[in-house]
Formats: sequence, C-alpha cells, structure tokens
Amino acid sequence: MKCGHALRGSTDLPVLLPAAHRLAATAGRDRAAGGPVLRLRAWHGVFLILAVVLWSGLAAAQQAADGRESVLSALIRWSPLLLKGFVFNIIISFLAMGIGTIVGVMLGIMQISLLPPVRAGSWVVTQFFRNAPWLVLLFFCMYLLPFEFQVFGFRIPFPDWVKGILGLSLPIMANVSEIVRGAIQSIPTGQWEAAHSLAFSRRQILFDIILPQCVKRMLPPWMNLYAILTMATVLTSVVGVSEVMTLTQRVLAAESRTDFLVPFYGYVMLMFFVYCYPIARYTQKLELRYAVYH
Amino acid sequence: MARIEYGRVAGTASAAIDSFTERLPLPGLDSGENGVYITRRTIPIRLQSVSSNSIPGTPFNDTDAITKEEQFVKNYASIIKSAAVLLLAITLAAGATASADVLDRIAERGKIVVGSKADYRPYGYLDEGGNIVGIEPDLARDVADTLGVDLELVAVTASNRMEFLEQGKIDVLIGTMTDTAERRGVINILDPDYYSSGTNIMARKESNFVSWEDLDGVPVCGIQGAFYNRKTSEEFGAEIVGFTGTSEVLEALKQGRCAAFVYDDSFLVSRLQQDEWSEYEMPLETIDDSPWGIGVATGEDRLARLISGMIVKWHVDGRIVELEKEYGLEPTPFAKRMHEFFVNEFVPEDAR
Amino acid sequence: MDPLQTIYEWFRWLNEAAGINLTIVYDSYDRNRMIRGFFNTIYLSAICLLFSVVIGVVGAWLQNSPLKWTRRIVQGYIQLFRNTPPLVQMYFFFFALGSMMPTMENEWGIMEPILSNWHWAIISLSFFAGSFNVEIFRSGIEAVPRSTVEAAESLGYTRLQSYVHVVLPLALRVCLPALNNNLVNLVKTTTLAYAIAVPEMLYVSNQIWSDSVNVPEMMTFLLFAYVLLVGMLVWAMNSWERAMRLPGFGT
Repeated sequence: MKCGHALRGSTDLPVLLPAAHRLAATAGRDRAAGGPVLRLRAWHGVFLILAVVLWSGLAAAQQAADGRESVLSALIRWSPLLLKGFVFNIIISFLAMGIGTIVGVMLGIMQISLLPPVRAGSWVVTQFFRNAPWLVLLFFCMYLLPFEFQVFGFRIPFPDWVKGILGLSLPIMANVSEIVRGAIQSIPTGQWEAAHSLAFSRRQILFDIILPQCVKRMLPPWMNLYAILTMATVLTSVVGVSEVMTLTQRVLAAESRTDFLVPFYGYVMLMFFVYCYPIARYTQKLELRYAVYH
Repeated sequence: MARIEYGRVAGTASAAIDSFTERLPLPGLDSGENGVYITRRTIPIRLQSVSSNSIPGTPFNDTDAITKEEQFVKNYASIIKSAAVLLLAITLAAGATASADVLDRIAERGKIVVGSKADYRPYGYLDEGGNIVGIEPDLARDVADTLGVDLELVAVTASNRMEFLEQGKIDVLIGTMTDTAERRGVINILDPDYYSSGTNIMARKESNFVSWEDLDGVPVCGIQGAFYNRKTSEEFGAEIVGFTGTSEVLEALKQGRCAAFVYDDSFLVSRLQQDEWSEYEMPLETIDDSPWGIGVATGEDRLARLISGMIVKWHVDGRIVELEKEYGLEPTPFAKRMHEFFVNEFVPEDAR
Repeated sequence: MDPLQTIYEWFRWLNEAAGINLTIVYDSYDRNRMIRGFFNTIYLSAICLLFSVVIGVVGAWLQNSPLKWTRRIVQGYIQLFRNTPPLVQMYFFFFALGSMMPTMENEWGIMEPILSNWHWAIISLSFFAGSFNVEIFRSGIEAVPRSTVEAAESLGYTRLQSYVHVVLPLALRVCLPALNNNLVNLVKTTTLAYAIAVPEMLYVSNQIWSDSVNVPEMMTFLLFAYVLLVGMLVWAMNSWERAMRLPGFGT
C-alpha cells in the first residue's frame, strides 16, 4: 500500500533503517516546528554567484590574450554606481508599498461596505487601477504632476522618484484592496452570523473579529505583491529615475563591449536575488507561524 | 578680429547690452550712453555659392540658389538687429516685472538645466562617478560658462526629451535630436543645426548588400524609436527588429538574429574601427543626411537667440570638429563644412 | 470602405483642429501596425496564460514529491524566478541562453539560433508567471483540510488520483482569487516582451510615438486598450469564480 507523506521521516517502529538516525533528527525538527519545514538552502544564491563568476572568469580568460580589460574588473569598477542605483530601487519599493497598503486597506474595506454607492465607487477605482498597465500609470503621474510647486514664493521641487513612488502606489493600492476583499470573503460566514447574534456592531465585527483573522491570510499574497513591486521598480526609468536597470544600460553603452552584456545583467539579477531571497524565506517562516489548520 | 566673444549676460540690462555689443563687430550697431543705436541699415548678406570667391556683403542676387546656411546668415543679421532692439525695449521698460521667462529663472537659480543623452557614446555617456560626459555635455558646459551659471545635466531619452522641455524640467535640450518638421511644431528647434548624421547599415561582408532595395524582407536590427526605422521598413521593405539599447542590438547582430543594423553613420564608423567588427562593413551609401538641432521651449525667444548665437560661434571656432576629434570620431563632413562656411562669413581674410 | 474612410478623415481633422494626433486611425501604416500589435498581445497573453497554469499545476504536484531532489529543484526554480526581475530574466533567456542554442542557417545565409525571440518571450513569461502559480497552487493545496486528504488515502486513492480528483478541485476554488490576480499581472507583464523586439502593443506604440511625436495620445490609447483586455479577462475569471463558489465562505 502506498503511504501518504505524513509517514515520511518519522516512525515509532523498532526498525533500524540505514538512514534512521538522520530521519529521526528530521522528524524531531518537523515535530518541533509543528509541521513539515521547507528546507531551503542558501545554495541557490551561491549557485548564481558561481555562475556569474564562472562566466566572467571565462570571458577574462579569453581577454587575457586580447589585452582588454576583464569583465570582473569592469564589474568592480562600476559597482559603486550600480549599487547606489539599487538602493534607490529599494527605497522606492518600501515607500510605494507603504503608501499603497494603507490606502488599499481602506479601499478594500470600502468594497464590502453596505452602502451601494461606496461599494460601486471603490470597485470601479480598484478595477481601473488593477487593470491598467503600471507603465502607463507611471507615465500619467509624470505628466500630470508638476515638477515643482510654488508655495508662498518658495519653490518646492517635486523630484522624479517621488512621482515614481506615487505612480507605483496606485496599482499597489488596487491590488491590496483586492487581497483584503479576498481575505475577508474567505472567512466562514458563520463568524459573521455568530458575531451578529452576539450584538456586535458591524464596525466591531470588522475590526475586532474578521480583520485579525484576515491578517494571516493576507500575508502571503501581500508579500507576493511586494516581490512583484520590487521588480516593477525598474519601470520608474520611464519617469526619469536613475535606477539600477537604466544605469546598467547606460554603463553598457559607455563600455561598448558586447561581452559585458550578460555579466552585467547577471550582476543586476544577483543584486535583486540577494535582496529578495531573505524576504522570501522570512515570508515562509511567517506563513508557518500563522498557519491556519482546520 | 579673429574671434567673436560673448560677454556675460548678467547684471542690469544696459550693462548686458554694452557687453553684448562691445564685442560684436557688426556694422550698423553702435553702443551709446543711453542704449543701443542703429546707425546704418544693414544689408542682407547673401552668398552666391559657398565655394565661390565672392566677397561677403555683396548685394542680393535673386537668381541664385540658396542653401540653408546662407538663409541663416541672411536671417542672422536681422536677428541680431532685432535682439538689440528688443534689449533696448527692455531697458526702456525698466522696472517692468519679470515675466518668468527662462533666462530670468536661470539667473535667479544660478544654474541652467540641460537635457542630454546618457546612453549614446560619445555624444553623452556615463563615467564611473555617475556623471554624464561627452560631446553634448561639453557643449552644454559652454552655454553655462557663457551665462556664468552652474550646469545641471539631466539624462533624457528619445521618448521623454521633448516632454521634459515642454514641462520646463529642462531649459535647453542638447540630446542628439534630429531636426524634423514634426518636432518643430512642438518645440523651438534653433538655427543653425549643430550637427548632422546620415543613415547607414552595418552588415556582414558576406551578406553582399549593394543597394537599399536589397533589404526587402530582411530582418534589420535598429534602436527603438529611431526616426529612420519607419523609412527603412516602409520604403525598402525591411523588417525592423528594434531593441532598447546599442549593446543589445550589437549582441543580437552578432548572434545572427538580424542581417544588418541600421543606425547613424557616425556611430557605425566608430564601431567598425574596432577589431571585433572586422568582418562587418558599411556597404550602402549614406542616405538622409539629417541635421541635429538644439531645442528650447516654444516662446523662449531670448534664450533661443542667445543659443543660436552660440551655435554660430561654435561653428566659427571649429568647436564641433575639435570635440569630435577629442572623443575619437572622424570629423563629419557637415561639421567641417559648417566651420568653413561660418569662418568665411564672419572672419575677415587677414585674421583667419 | 466609405464609412470607415470618413471616420479616418474625421481623426485627421481632429489632429489639425484640436491637436489630438491619433495616427493609428487615419494613417494606414500605423493602423496596420497597431492592429497587428493588438493581436500579438492577445496571442502572447493567451499562450503564456496556458503554459503558466500548466507549469503551476505540475510544479505544485512535484513540490510534494517524496524525492528530495525533485523538491529541491522545484524550490530552486521558484526562488530564482520570484526574486529576480522579469525583464532581466528575459534578457538572460534571449541573449545568454539564446546564444548557446544550436544554430541553423536561415534564408539570408546567417547561422541563427533555433529559438526566435517570440519563443524566448513565451518561455520566459510562462516560467515567470508559473513560479508564482506554483506558490498559489501550493497555498490552495495546503488549504485543503488534512482530514480530507487522509480520508482519500484511506479509501485507497494513489497520490496522483487523490491529487486530481480530491485535492485539486478544492484547491482551485480556494486559490481562484489569487490566481485571477496573477493572470491579470501576466497580461500586463507581456509588455516586457518589447525589450526583445516582440511586436506587441507597447513596442508598436513606442515606434509610433517616436515617429509622430504623440506620446500622450498613445499612452491614453494603451491605457484603454489594456483596461479593455484585462477587463475581459477579469470578467471571465469573476464569472468562473462565482460559478465555483464554495458555500459557507465569505460575507
């Protein structure tokens, strides 16, 4: 008979299998964590680093004969500039996520409102900003918003990256609103009915009963959205922000060597990976901690 | 005198006029204590042909063909005249509130914002400190030095350069922008044009392209947004495969994804000088020699006149040719021709 | 063609009178380009949608495999594709992997790699969206009560049978909102294919606005075109969601 995966790695039978010791340790760890733990290693990132280093090593070996500069030394030379650009990407992603989440939660709650106009209005806003391409929204933010404000004779500049943040927070707001709505609707209706019967007001039900349960459900798709947003920060180049992708393209144009193309883009990929992977692992830990078992 | 110099445009309007006209040896303008007087009616200058030995200043002869440069020189004198009149009017209307025109804003801020390309070597590219360097940033620096203000360079791309100018985010656009009628409808492109390049292709020697019509149905790589892509595909039937940057295009060309790369001939010439492109050539004749123009927002006439004058100065001094050589480019025929033409125009024989 | 011709002429008049330049209507070259671009976008979105869902389902199943290396490879694939920008992935696929493919002589006598930019765009986008789908399906599968799975096991279903007949239908209903979200994002992510010269709508619009200097008009058109496309997809997914709603959940 085929056993289900529940029996994998753990046994109470007095059978000494060759890997018994290792299996017992695994089983112990699983039991301590309360469920099967995804055993992820940092070797994924190491693999990527190795790939980039090998590639540039190969190219360097080729150029040793040519007498031209090796890829590694070019990467090191341009690193300060590229890393500065990458930090910019991260700042943009934080701020856009923050603003988008706050407004999005409000919009999501409005979507389940009892008043039809509020429901309809927030639905329209959500659908519109969800369906619009992020690039186009960024573009409109850039041209509709002025590049500086004149307040009482003072000139306050409105820099590009702020416009980029506002432009990115619009689709985030719409997506968070959908996530919130989806999470609220996945709570069993029994909860609402029980709360009604206990004479909770609608606001009390929402904020004291439903939303706390929703936080756990919202966390994975929300972190998912943050991953998408981090990647989408490269779109702000349209608004004129000197972020890492644009800088890489300019560096490649300045260097004018075709064999730099892949290593430099690999380097950018590595930067994103090194940033996002720990966040992904943390997300998984959070998911396990807040896992809801029926 | 052998050089035309422009003084600082700063301080009061009359000081500006003084310094402006002091150094301009144009007949017909005289600077007095109360302003500028026009003493003599200037005669429109027209040449019969560029290569003839006719003396500048010969009266107008209707039957001759006139090139764009000659047309400009005809206008130049009247431009200077009306600029002087304009400055005179400004002096007389002293105390008038500044209508926030760009020159005023520049003077107030103490810096000029110039838009330049940052991904097109050698016209505008990045150095390791993240600063934009190249031929066009150097020209921008000349403008800033003339005005006596700081320079701020903003990186632009083909898709956002005109919007930036219209919005006011940049004051002047020196961004490898080809001078076309459509663009003139949107912003003010200054005369004379400061540079020019033609369209050509880079292809493998064994492809044996002989004429532009051979490109019918052939996949040809290009840069997205270049204005000659449409002509190459509409008129000659090529299938344009457009990428965002030059490194991507060159890589695709190497991989064989396309048979040729259509681009500015100046870029292709500098690329073909490198060893890794030894199997490639520029087989076709260069077409559509199109000049590049410097742009300012429509309505900014003062700034436009100033920069027009500067462009003339660059041509007289041979600054463009000098910059091309400095950045390792073969001086283009246009730059050389403009230099010769304007030297003939403004520099007396004995001072050349 | 007369009524169409009057419509075209009206747009030409609009340009001269109001300055709203919509060359995609009155200029035949631009119009044909844009129509082709529109259908290319639909085609690309449809194919990538299909492949990414298949990858998601297969990946989620492999994630629960008893073989350690299968699980590790799937995890590695997910982490790699989720944590790097899709644009860079596309460049990587096309330029790096593309150059390593075996070459074949094409009609112009040049040795060209066998997979074209269209193929790589589809592969790259499907894998990108697929990696998110694996996570979504996994969370859907984990939302299926363990008791249900154990009941299926005790009834003698093999792992594959319980997956197909018991787990997947329930998981699908639970993860449908998140899947909906992801598929919508996929349709919008197809715009990234412009970077490797796939002639979809953004690429064509870029060419048009460079030629005709009408960026705001083209951007507005793109906005409405994508809102329309995505709106249709969302409407279809929403009706499917409603049809498959689980009783006893939601307000």
